[in-house]
Amino acid sequence: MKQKIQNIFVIGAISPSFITDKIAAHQSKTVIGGHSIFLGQVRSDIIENKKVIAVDYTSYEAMALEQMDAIRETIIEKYSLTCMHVYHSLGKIKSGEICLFVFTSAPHRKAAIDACSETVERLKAELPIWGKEIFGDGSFQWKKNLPA
Amino acid sequence: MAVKIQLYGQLKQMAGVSELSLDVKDTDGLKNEIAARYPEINDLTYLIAVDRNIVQVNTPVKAIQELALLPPYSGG
Repeated sequence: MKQKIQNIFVIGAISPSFITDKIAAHQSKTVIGGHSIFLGQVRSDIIENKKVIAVDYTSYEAMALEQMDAIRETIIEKYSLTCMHVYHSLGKIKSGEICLFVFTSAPHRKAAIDACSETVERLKAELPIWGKEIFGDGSFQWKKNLPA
Repeated sequence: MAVKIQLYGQLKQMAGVSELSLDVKDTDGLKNEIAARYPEINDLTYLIAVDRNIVQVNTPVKAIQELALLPPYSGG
């Protein structure tokens, strides 16, 4: 039976304790031999002498969740993962805070690492999420994703 | 026939509203209406989603469908 679509969105920054709680929750899954974790952090770019102090994320949530569900299904099958969890922030995230948490687990390391990397690349390219970079003086610009 | 179109990201900011109602029968008609009414949006790259799927070729649209205009993604 197909599982219910998982929500990936978290309002506000992803806290370090949220991440450690998720790791701890996997100790009972003893078939796992390796986890791979990617954490995206809001970077304080300097653009035309102005410093980015936060990124405000919005999404077409219903579509993003459907797209993520399809990505998840493909990647779990391709790498025979034990499990995969993805969390993405919405709202204003200050520079230095975590806005993306991708967590893949498998019996062996290579599958976990490769799956994590592919998931990050695919979600950045395929999920309808937008980041507005906010500068210290209150002005803003729309973020553009660069390759890797 | 009027259809509702959701706007996201920079497009929402530029139009000043999160939803438009336009009289169109297919996605090419929608592009033409956008070009005529919102030339500043037409200057940007955007994708059209019908019922949460990106459409690349001209597609008929009905009022009950969920339409959205999506600027380039920048999540993560």
